Amino acid sequence: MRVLFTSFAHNTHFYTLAPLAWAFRAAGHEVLVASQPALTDTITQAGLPAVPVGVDHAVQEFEQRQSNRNSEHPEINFAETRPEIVTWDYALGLQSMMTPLMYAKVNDTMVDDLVELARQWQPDLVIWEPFTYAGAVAARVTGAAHARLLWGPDVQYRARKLFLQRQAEQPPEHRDDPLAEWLTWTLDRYGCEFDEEMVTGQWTIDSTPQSTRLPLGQHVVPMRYVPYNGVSVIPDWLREPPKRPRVCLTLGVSAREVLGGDAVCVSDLIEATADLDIELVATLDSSQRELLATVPDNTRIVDFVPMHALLPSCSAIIYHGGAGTWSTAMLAGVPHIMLAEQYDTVLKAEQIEELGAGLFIRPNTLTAQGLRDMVIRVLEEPSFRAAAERLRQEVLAEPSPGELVPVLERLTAEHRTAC
Amino acid sequence: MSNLTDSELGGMMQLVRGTQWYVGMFGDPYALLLRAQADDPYPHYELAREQGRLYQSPLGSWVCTGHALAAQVLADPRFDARTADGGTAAQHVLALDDSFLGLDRTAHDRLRERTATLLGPQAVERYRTLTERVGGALLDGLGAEFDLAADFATPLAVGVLAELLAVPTKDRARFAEHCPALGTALDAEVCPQQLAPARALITALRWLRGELAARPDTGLLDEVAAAGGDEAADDALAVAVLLAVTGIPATSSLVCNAALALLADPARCEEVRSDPGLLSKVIDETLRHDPPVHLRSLVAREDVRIDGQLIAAGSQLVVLLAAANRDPEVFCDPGRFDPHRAESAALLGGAHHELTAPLARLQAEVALRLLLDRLPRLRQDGPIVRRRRAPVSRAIARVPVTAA
Repeated sequence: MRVLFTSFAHNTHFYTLAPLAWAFRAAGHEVLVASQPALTDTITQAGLPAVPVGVDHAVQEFEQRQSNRNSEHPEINFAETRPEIVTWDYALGLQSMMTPLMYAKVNDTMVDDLVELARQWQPDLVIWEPFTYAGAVAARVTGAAHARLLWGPDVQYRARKLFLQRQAEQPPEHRDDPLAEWLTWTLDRYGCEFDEEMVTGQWTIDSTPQSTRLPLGQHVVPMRYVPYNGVSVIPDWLREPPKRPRVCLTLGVSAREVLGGDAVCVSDLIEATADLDIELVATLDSSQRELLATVPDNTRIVDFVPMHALLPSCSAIIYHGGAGTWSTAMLAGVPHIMLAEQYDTVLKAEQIEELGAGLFIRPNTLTAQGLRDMVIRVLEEPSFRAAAERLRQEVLAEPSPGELVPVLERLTAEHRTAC
Repeated sequence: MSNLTDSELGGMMQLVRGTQWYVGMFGDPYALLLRAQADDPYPHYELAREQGRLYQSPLGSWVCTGHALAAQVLADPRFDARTADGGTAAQHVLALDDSFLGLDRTAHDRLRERTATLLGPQAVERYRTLTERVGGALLDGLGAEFDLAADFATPLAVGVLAELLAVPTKDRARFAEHCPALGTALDAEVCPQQLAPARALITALRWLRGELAARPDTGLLDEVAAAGGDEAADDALAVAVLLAVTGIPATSSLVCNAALALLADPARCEEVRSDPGLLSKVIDETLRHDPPVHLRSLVAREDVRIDGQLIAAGSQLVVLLAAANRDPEVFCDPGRFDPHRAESAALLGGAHHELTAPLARLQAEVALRLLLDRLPRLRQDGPIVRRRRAPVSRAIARVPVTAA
C-alpha cells in the first residue's frame, strides 16, 4: 500500500504523524511525507522520506500578532461552547478569520503541487494533520482514502459542528460558510466538489485517551500516543534517578520558537520554587536564561531535553499545555500544572483538572506564591498521581500505531475509490 | 476583476473579510460596520461618532461622522472617487471599473449637464405616467401577500429603467434577472462579498454593457448621445449603467424604507392620505432617517489638512452619510422619524449621487401613492431580513407584506 502523510510546514504539527508513518514503513508499506520545503530537514531527521511540495508559507506573522494580543482576543477560541457565547456571529467569525488567515495561508502554497504528487504517485491512503486540508483535496482528486490524525481533543470539528448548527438556524439569505467556499473553489480547480468529508476526513485517528476525547459522533479510530518530539539525545544526568522529587518546567519549544516570547515571566516562576525540596528542571533558551539573576540551587537549567525521556522521572510538570508535552505527560502518568490560554489548551487544562490529574491556572492570574502553592499541593496530595496514572493506563489501552496498521489497511480498502 | 480565477478573487475577498473581522474584534466601529452582520448599524455609527467627527480606523481608513464636516468633504474636489491617475485607496476591495462607479467629479458634472433635460429634478416629471403604469401593472399581478422589495419595489425600478433604455421585449427577462445582482456593487467596493454574488455582479455588469453597446436603439441613451460633443457615446453608456447600478437599488430601498415607516404608524398613514403634500416630506425624512446609501468612500487626491488632521494623498476617507444624517448637533432627537422636522436636508452622497436621485425620488413618490391608494390594508407580515455584507446599501433581502 502507498501511504502519503502530509502536514503544512510546522514541526509540532508534523511530529504527531511520525510514529504512524514508521509503523506503516515497518509493516512494509511505502510511505512519503509531503510538506512545504521548510520542513524537509525535520522530516528526514525523523527517518522518513520527505517530498517538498509547493513553496513555504508565511503564517508566523499572524500567529505572532495573535500571540502578542493573546489575552485580548476572546473571539478566537475553538474551545468555547457556551451557547450564549457561541452565537452565529461568533461561530462565523471564527471561520471567517481562520479560513483566510490560517488555513488558506498554510495550504494554498502547497495544494497544487501536492495534488500533482498524488496524481503521479497514486497513494492508497492520505493521512493529514487537521490544518492540512490539502491532504483531503489530494485524496479526493485521486480517489485515495483519507483520514485526519489529531494531536489533541477535536476542538476544530466541534467548532465546525457548532457553526453548522448555528448556520442552519439562520434565514437562508444570511448563510455564509467561508471554509466551504474556500475548499469549493480549491476543489473546483481539479473538477471535484466539496462536502463535509473534506473537513472531517473519511475517519479520524485520535491519539488522545478516552477521557479527554470529545463525543462528536464522527468515525473515530483510537490510537495509542507514541511520543516523537524531534531529534533527541539523552543527557548523562538523566540516567541517574532523581534524589528529590523532580519537577519539570517547560513552556514548550513551539511557543518559544514560533510564538515569539512566553506568555508568562519565567524568572518569577523559578524564584517561586527556589526554597522547595525539589529538583526543578527548567527548559530555557539563552534569551530566557539571561533574564535570570541567579539560578537557585535546586534548579537545573537545560536548553532542551526530550520530554519522553525526562517525564517518567518527574513528579510534576509545569507547562503551557502544548500538544506534544500534554500527550507525553499523560503517557508518563505525571501530574500536570497547566498555565494554559491558547487554542485548545484551556479545554485540555480543564479536562485535566476535572479528571483530578492536575491543576489549571490562566497565566494572567498567576502569581509566584500561587504557583508555589500548586507545586506543593500536587506533590503532597497522592490523588493527583493516582489520577495521572489512570490516564496513563487509558493511553496504553489503545492499539499502538503498529497494531493499527491492519485496521487502517481494511478501512482504506473500504473507502478508496481509485482502481 | 473579471479575469481573476475563483481562487484569486475569492481568496482576496476572504483575506480582506478576515482582516476586517479581526480588527472589528478589538472594537473598531468602522471595522464592525464593514462586518455588516447587524440588522441595525446605528449603534456602530454612534460608537464611530464617539471617536470624533473624523477619526482614523486601524484599517487605515479615515471615517467622518459629523454633518457639517461631511458636507464640506463631499464638496471638496481634493476628495474624489479615484486618485488623479485613476488609482484606488488600499482599502478599496473591488475596483469595478465596468460600473463607472470610479467616475470623477468632473465627469459627473458633465453627465449631469448632458442629462439635465432628461434626468434633472423637473425633467423626470415626464416619466410619472410611465412609472404609474409600470407600478400599477405590478400591483395588478400581485396577490394579497407579497414581498415589498422583490415583488414590487425592485421590479418597479427595473421595469421603469427597461422602458427608459428601450430594452427589447425579448431581453426583458434577462435584464430583470441581472439587475438585482448589480445591487451589491456599492457594497462590494468596501466590503468583500461571497464569491457567488461577486461573480454574479461581474457577469451582470459585463452583460449590461454588452447589451447596451450592441443595440441600435437605446432610448434614453440615444438622447444623451444625440447631444453630441466629445465622449457623448461613452457618457450615454455611463448614464445607463449608473442608473442600473446605483439607481435601481436606491429606488428600491427608498420605496421600501419609506413604505415601512408609514406602515409602522397608521396615524401617519392617514395623515399622508389626507394631505398629499406630506408625501414629499416623508421621502425627505426617509432619506435622512434610513438612506439608500449609508456611506460614501472617497480617496484623497493630495495631502489634505482638514479638521486638524492630515489626510495623506491616496488615503481613503469614508463619509458615514447615515451617521451624519443623525448628527445630534444638527438634528433634534435624530433617531425619531418625523416628516415635519424643519432642520436642514439630509446628505445624499454628493456629486456622485445627484445623477440618479431625481428619478429615484419620483418613483418613490409614485410607488407610495399607489400603495396607499390601492392597498389601504397593507401591513408588514413577518420579519424584515436585511442582506449581510451590505454596509452601504443595507439592502432588504426579504420583507413580507399583506394587503388582506
